This record gives sequence, C-alpha cells and structure tokens, in this order.
Amino acid sequence: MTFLDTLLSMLASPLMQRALIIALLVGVSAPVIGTYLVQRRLALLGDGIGHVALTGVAMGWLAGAAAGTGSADALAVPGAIVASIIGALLIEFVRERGRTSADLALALLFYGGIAGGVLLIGIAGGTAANLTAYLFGSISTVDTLDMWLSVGLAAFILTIGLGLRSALFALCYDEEFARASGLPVRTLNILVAVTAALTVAISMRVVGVLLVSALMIVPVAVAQLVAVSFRATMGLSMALGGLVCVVGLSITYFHALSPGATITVLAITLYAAVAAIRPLFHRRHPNAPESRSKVQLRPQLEAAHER
Amino acid sequence: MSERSGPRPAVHLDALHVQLGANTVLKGIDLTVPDGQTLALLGANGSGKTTLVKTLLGLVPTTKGQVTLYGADVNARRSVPWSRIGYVPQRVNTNPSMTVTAEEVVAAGLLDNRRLLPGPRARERVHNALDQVGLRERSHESVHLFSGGQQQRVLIARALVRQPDLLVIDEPMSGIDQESQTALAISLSELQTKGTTIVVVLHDPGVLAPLIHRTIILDQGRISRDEMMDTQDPHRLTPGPVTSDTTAGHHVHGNDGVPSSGRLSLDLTTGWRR
Repeated sequence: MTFLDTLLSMLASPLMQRALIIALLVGVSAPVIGTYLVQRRLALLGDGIGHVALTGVAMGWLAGAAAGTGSADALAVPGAIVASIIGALLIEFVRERGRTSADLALALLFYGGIAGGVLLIGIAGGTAANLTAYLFGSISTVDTLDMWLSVGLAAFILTIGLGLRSALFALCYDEEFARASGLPVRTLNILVAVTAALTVAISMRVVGVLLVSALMIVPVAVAQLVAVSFRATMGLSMALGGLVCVVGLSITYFHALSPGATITVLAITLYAAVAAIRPLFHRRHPNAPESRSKVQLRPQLEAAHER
Repeated sequence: MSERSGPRPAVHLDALHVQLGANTVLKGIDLTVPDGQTLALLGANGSGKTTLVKTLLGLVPTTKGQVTLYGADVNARRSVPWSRIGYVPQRVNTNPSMTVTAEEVVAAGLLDNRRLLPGPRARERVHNALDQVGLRERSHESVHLFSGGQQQRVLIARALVRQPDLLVIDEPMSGIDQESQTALAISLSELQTKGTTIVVVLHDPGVLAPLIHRTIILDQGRISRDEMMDTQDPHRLTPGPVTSDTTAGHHVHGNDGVPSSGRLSLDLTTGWRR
C-alpha cells in the first residue's frame, strides 16, 4: 500500500474524520484565548483549570452512576465544563482581589484539582485506564455527539475571542487604562475566564488535561518569535495550532503514539526550529535591549508587518 | 481667585478621603475643576498626587467623600461620560510579554463603556492621533523598541484619539527627552485652545509652566496651596532660562506648607518657546 492509499484510508475512516475535525477546531481556537493569557502573564491558567477539570470529570462519573446513565463517560465532559468554569472564576476572583496571592491560588487549584479528581474517580469505581484517557486525551474514542459539542464550543470561543478582540486586547494590554476608559472590565474578565475554561474543556479530549495548556500557549510562543503586532501573533498562532493538531493526529494514524503527546512535541519542536533559524533572518528578540537599534531594525519590522 | 464652575464641572471632589491599607493617603480634598481649566497638581513624592488622579478616575476606591465627573458619581460607572475623558498613565506596561504595534496600543483609546469595537474610520483616527505626537510613520512598529519618551507619546496619542474634553495626565515629564517634552507642550497648548480641561500631575512645571492656569500643591494628603496663575501676567511671557530659584514672589506667598524641596518652587518667569 502506498503512502497515498494509507492517507486516503485515513480520511475515509469516519472515526478519523471526526477526530480530525475536532483536532482542527481545537488547534485553531485554543491559541485565540492563549494569546490573551500570554499577554496577561497567565500562561499557566490553562493548567490550573485543566487540573480542576479532572475533578469535574470524576464528579460527572459519580453523577452518571447515581443517575444510572448507560455510559460512565456520558456526564464526564459536562462535569469538566462546570468544574472548569467554577475553577476559572475562582482564579479570576483571587486575581482581582490581590495579585500577590494569585500564583498561590493557582497552585492550590493545581493540587486540589488533581488530587480531588484521582480520589473521586477511585470512589466512582474508575480504573487507571479511564483516568489515563482524561489525563492524556482520548481523541480516538470521540463520537458524533462529541464532535458537535466541540463545534459548538469552538464557535463560542472564536466568536468571543475574535469578535471582542479590540476590547479584550485593551483589557489584557493595560487593565488600568481599560478601566479608566469606562470598559466593563469585570464583565470582560469573567468572559476571558469562562472562555478559557471552555477552551480547556474542548481541548481535553484531544491532548488531555495535563497538556491542555500546551495547545493554548505553545503556538502563541512560536508566533511571538516572528510577529510584531498582536493581530499577527494571534492569526499566526491559530494557523500553527491547527497545523500541528492535524499533522500530529495524522502521525498517530500511522504510528501507535499518544495523539496529545505527539501534537505537543510537534509544537515544541516547531518552536525550537523557529527560534534556531530566526537569527539567520536577523530578527530582533522582543525583550533584548542590546538589539534595540532602530535604524537597523526598521526595514525588518516593516517587512514583518507586510506579511 | 474666582472659579467659573458651572453646574456640572469637569471634576468635583467633595471631602475626599482615601485609605490604602493602613495609610490614609488623602485626607479631605475639596476641589472643583471648571471646564477649560488647566490644573497642575504638584507635591513631593508620597504626597498623594497619583492617588488623587487615580481616585478621580475611579481606579482607586474612595474611602469617604465623593468624586463626580461632569456631574456623574465616578463609582456609578455606567453614568460617567467616559468617552469625554482621556487618561495618560505614568508609564507604559514596563514588562511586556508580547510585542504590539503603536497603532494597536492607540486603538485601545477608541473604546469606552458604549463602544467595545473601534468603529468606523478607526485607522484614520489612530493615525491622526499618532500624527499629533509625531509618530505617525512608526505606527506599525513595536512600541517596545521605542524610547521612554516615544512610549509616553504613544500613551498620549491613546488618550488624544478619544478627543477628550477632560485630559488627566500623570507625571508626563519625568525621565523623557527634550523633544518629547516639547511635543507634549505643543499638544497640550493645542488642546487648551480647543477648551479641553487638563489635570496634570507634575514634579516640576518645567516647559509646561506657561500653560498652567491653576496650581494645587498637595502635602501629606491635603491641599496646602491652591493658586490661580494670572494668564495676563506679563512676567509669565518673558522668556528666560529655566532655573529653580527664580520664584515669582507675587504669586507664591511665603513657604508655608511647601516641602523644602527646591524643585517645587514655581517658576512663573520661565518662558516656553516653541
């Protein structure tokens, strides 16, 4: 069988079709919210929410068992969505109150979320295999309902993240100025937190809660190496996110590898490659003061903007 | 010292107290800034100048007393006419996590409580604002590559793009180059002729001295001096070197309540030349 035949057989498989659609949606939408989080220096927020989502999965199982639903997994994703939103709002509440304790609050959520999840899954009678599916992703088991849920969540994330880009940029770049401009800062903050929570919930199926943040952050980090404007960073990170998710998932069709880990390693390899070849194009590092020679940099910056 | 305060002055502070932690930073400030006035807020470090402007904009909560902007209580955020108010903070996001262009920073100034989208002609308005501070041709460049003075000008453009009726500027002159100081003085004098109310926090009036209508000196959270500058004063128009010891005696009465820092003495004979 040639490579092309294998590729066609992959595309002909309904399971792979669903998985690829979800991977593409997640890959494109996760960096949207990731761009705002990186700008706010909340790159690890996704991890905190992800850990809490695991507790949500376990609670979904318990609720499913209590309600007598056929599959234990039926309420797992809704449980994760609810727990993620509550976790994100808690973090936002702590962040708003006092910035100093925000990282401590994140740490508490990390450990509380993962420990609570493991405990509750045990109580619900779950196995290590069940747990692994959520820790590292289980895109090979998605059904049509999962796909439509992902389509709905991605549509919400993209509508908020792209539709309100001006306001969310103003908020994330300079929250004090946004407040002094009269922007509804609290509402927008809650919107960012909820959208981040939904991004975690949608990405969980693809890469698992432990790697969820990688999809939100790594494509943004790659885009940051070459883009000058916020707009270009977001656009490029969306394209790269979609690319690594689809390519990474396709690789796992040919080789028995974990999709989440493959996608993440691919994204990080891309980062390393771009970071390595960037000096060849004489790009400046955003934070390196010694490279702030404006005269030299101007044509390159302009060229970067033209793209 | 007559005040032309209308029924809805740009700024009105009534017995304002602000406590931050265990510190009472502002201890009973009464102040009305009528439309069209340019008010300079002076005082030593820690006298409460920055807290005063932040409270005025609703960025720091009031402990006691009231702040109204054009007649609207600043704590009733929805009723404040935010589109009429422009704010220039002390400095740019000093530790940027991401590169953004000057154009993008300035576009943030187009938004307010009624507008979450930049609206029509946004790009043109942003470019005009950058033009006003002399940075139009650099609108596509990353602001993090700009000098301190140029970054300050971007922030001024971000406030100007709103075409504000009230402009609040926090310490615009500290640590910026001569060219940017002059650019700021020109921008402010143009706004003044349009009737814009300006509240500016300063360490030293410097090149802005000729533009100032009224000076308030804060000392340990209280107004220690409130003086109208006679704009018809011929001394004011006399060009002269910038010196900190030539104090125009008929405006500054004695030295009571003024911290003994030489930087605080008002130099009203300093001429400002374009």
